[in-house]
Amino acid sequence: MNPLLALLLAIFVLAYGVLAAVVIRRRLIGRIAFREVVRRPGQTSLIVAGLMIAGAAIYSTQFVLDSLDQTRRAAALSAFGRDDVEITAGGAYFAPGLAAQLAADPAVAANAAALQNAIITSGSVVDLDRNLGKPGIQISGLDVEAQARFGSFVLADGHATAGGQLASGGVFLTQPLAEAIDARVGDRLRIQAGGAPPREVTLAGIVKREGAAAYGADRSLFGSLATVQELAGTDRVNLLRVSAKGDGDAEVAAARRVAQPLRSAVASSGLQVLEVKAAALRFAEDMNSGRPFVTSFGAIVALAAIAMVVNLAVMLAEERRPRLAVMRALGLTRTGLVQLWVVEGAIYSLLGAVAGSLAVLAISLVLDVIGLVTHAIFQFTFSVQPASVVGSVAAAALINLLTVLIVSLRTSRMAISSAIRDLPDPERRAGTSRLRLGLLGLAGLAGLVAVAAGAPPIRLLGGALVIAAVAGFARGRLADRARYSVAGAGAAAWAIAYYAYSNPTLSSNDKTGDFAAALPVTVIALSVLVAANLSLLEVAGGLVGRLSGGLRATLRPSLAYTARRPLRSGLVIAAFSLVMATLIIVQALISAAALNYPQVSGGWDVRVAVVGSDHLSVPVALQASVARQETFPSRTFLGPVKLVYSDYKGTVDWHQARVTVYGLTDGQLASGIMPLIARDHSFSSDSAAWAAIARDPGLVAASDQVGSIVYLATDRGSLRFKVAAQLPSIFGYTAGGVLPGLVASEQSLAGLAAAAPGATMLIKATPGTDPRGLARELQRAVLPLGADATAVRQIVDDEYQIANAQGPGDFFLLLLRVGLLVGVASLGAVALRAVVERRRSIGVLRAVGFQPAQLLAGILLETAVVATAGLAVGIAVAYGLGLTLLTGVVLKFSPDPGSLLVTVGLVYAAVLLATLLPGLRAARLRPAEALRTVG
Amino acid sequence: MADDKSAMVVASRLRKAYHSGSEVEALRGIDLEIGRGEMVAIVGPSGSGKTTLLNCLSGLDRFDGGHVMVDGKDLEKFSDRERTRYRCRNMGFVFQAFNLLPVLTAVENVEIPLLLLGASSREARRRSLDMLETLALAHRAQHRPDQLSGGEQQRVAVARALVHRPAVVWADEPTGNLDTEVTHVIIELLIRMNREGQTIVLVTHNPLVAERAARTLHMRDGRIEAAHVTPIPVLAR
Repeated sequence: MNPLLALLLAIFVLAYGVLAAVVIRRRLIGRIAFREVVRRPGQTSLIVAGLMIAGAAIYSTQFVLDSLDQTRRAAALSAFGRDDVEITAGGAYFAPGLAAQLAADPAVAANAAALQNAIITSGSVVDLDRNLGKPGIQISGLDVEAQARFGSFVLADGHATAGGQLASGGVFLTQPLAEAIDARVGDRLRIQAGGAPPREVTLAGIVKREGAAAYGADRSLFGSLATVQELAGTDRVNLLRVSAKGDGDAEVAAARRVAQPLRSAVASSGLQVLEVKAAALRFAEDMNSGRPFVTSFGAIVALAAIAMVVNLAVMLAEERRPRLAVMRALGLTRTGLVQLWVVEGAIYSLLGAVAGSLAVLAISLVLDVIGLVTHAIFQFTFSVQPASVVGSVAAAALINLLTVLIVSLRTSRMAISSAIRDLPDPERRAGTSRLRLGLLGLAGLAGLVAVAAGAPPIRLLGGALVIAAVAGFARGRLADRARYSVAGAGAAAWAIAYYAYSNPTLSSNDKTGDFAAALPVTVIALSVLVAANLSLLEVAGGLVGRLSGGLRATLRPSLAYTARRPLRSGLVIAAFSLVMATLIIVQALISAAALNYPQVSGGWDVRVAVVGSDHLSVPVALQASVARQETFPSRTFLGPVKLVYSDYKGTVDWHQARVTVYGLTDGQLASGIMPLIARDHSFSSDSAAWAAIARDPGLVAASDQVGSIVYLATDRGSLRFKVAAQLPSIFGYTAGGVLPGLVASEQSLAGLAAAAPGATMLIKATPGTDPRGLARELQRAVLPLGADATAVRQIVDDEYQIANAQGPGDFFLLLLRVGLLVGVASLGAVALRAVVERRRSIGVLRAVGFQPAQLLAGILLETAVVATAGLAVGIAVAYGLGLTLLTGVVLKFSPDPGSLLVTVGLVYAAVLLATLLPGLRAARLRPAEALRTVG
Repeated sequence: MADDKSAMVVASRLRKAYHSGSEVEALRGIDLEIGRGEMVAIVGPSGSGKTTLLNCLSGLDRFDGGHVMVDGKDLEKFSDRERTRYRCRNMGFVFQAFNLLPVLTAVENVEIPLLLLGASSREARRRSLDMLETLALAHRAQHRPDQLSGGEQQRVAVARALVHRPAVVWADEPTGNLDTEVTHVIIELLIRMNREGQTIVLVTHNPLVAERAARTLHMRDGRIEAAHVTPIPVLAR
């Protein structure tokens, strides 16, 4: 079990165990608590509904992550099927006899179920009957005799086949490739594999991307080993696939055992042994390093929910105060009161946590059943992990319980005589008890230790703790307003400065922890600053009130309640601004996901690409339609690849993959062939970045995160390319773009002599020329080469369609939208609390002449003021920190002001709706009824 | 007591019932007349209907049957808005639990009725401070309720009830939360206001308070059992 989960469960069991012991020892407390829960179902429902938000926020995060993990794992297993280990020479060919030699090795035979000779290469296909072709396809030649262990092909009509049709010289195309060239079974295909001359074959079948055909690229051709050897002009192989014995985890374990003797056997031949399936599964697990990123957003939502829980708990405490005071008067000790309150709170907390988790499960089930979550390129798998459910329930229950405990400690300090008569507690002198000073000292010390020794996020929190402790010590020595203002401004400045200091470059590896700490600290600090200075609103209200006494009378109580209770106002502002900051970042994500065609296209209209030849030119007849053209060679490497991402995706260990490297001339690089969306901090401009790529063959531009590194294990050794600048791509589809690969200098191709040669041409059409028409003309001209000419608009539109298919990203956005509900619910709770807590005051105001409309306006004004303050802080923090976060982790932060305005408008509308009901309730209170009510 | 004895409040056959589970008749046909400038105390055991009567007479609560005329106006014929406006202009309230707004200072609490009546901020502040000074509370004007003693809070409440010179002041157990000494201060204050012509109707359990009123109405089971007029010498005391 995860140690953190074990600790969480231990605390949970301990806490509830202690409470169970209290109930057993003091039955009266248990009886009263249970009856409050059972006999006031309306109240219980309201509180549980509020408390379930924390549970839902926490579990929805875990559920999304579990499902993503499961989906990635399923995808990895599906892609490799029974292929566990691969032996490769980095694309170079070796003798096919190795398979038999290895199979005879007892150490190998003990764990290997089958070995299969194969050729995997890149090339192009032209359907001669349809006059359509595609370059850059993956060509896989498999030893059909060994295919049984590696799985069956599933034909488009649903029939499975072990590949018998391939033995007679025919080939299979995957469905995506067949659709791209409109191929039909029986068509004549011209194939060019690697650099060999083209040959003709017959299309024997169209296969689904599952079973044996799940292997490799979407656009793939499968043939028998003999057929592909003929296409490639060789009698050798470049890949040996090994299937380990067993199924599932046993198979993965057997693969691990067989890899070692395989390595020993091929050590002297320069061949590489890749544990491909294990690497894919590891990558799926490594993607878990993205957990902090998603969890941090979940935690923010949960944190916002806590503020609402506090409001609910305080509301409940205020409402019960006279009755609790009577209990105290009758002899219940302060400890007993806390116990009573916490036992009742524990029931609500557990119910809320369970209900929250169940709600997430129910929503997911509905989404699954109605098929809302599907994806164009993979199957999304829902995963319910018992550990996550239990952990989320425990975490949410403990959070709620802790909140109730703190509130109960506060409530227990009531002046009994005042509380019984529902009078306000007399003001307490600012205490300087030893306990308080001790706690402050302890907090300050802990903060200093964290600053001195902690990891960046802990340091950030530690610094904030030190500032809070110093502010605590200054009580009584400095006016509260000044104290809160200085502490708030100081903590915010510390968080922002530290965040900026600890993340000086765009290529820093992991900012999510820092962000998760910086966002709440900054938001809370600024909220304290704003709340401490809300009295300025009263000044403004006074000026407005000069217009009429009635207006002033209406404004005064609302503004006073907001400004003169800075703690509770600050709490709500903090909750709301946390939500707002999160929402704005979501909004920016959505905006970023919107298609920015001019950026993604780089201004180009047509892309022509060929694999197998490095020559491309525009026919003379079409020259008049071309305003600008750039042609450059490429190499398509198919072999062992290792990726070290600079963001949360982590490392993908050696695996078989295909990477295209484009070799541009110095002039082409200097012209800035594509716009850049990010570059390494060491370059002062985009030109400087392109110049560096031209100078250094190890630097490239790609659509991956700046700082990521790509390793290619060629037959001549390992090549290392570092991403120095980031090319635009469609959000959610970084594998695509106009130049899907590594954009490098000509000299970068030197180490890739064995890779399939190719060429790419980018064309800008003259004004008035239809790019699609030009692409069609070009396609006809380059078809004999097996080249593909496509309008850039078509490429971008297709990729955008794939990227925006429903998928797990929707869950992420859904989770963040929960924030909106929390924020609005928080303000609804504030309004409700205002009505419950101020029932008497409302009665008095009505008695002395306040009209219902004035009361309603007052309640609405109060929440509007808090919402506005929360919006202001949230927007400021989102822009301040989000600018760095999104540029660093996801993409450029470019919030759309229009969307922001719509969000703000919707938030105000939602706040109005949430407040209206309690406000109307207040307005409709009959004065005598309000004045009569005591507890 | 003022010379003008025309009726300020007239109630006839006033009935009111509460319907919570079973029906409880709180007022069972009350007939009552309170003169202008009179000070009337309503006494009786708990549950006898004192507060209900006061709430119905003052327009804070609706009643089920009968009529109430305040200063010649039938409040029952007013809309809620008109009744609120009338209350604001012509009535003041003092409650047992003081019921000051906790976030407002003493002077700000006192200002509320004046602002509602449209007084300018300056005028409201001046009159409120004058009123607080009259009640010897000027030095506590900027304090919030939780910084005041019970007696001081109730004096602020009295100031709030009187500051706009209402036709009638309704006081529901105004001394219920106060000790004897402070009770004496508050009741003397009310008597002083009454001598200046202020009509005052108060509900109380305290016989010492009741005997200072010009007239005492004894209630039991929703009816007025007896009326008792206080002898002049006591009034003069």
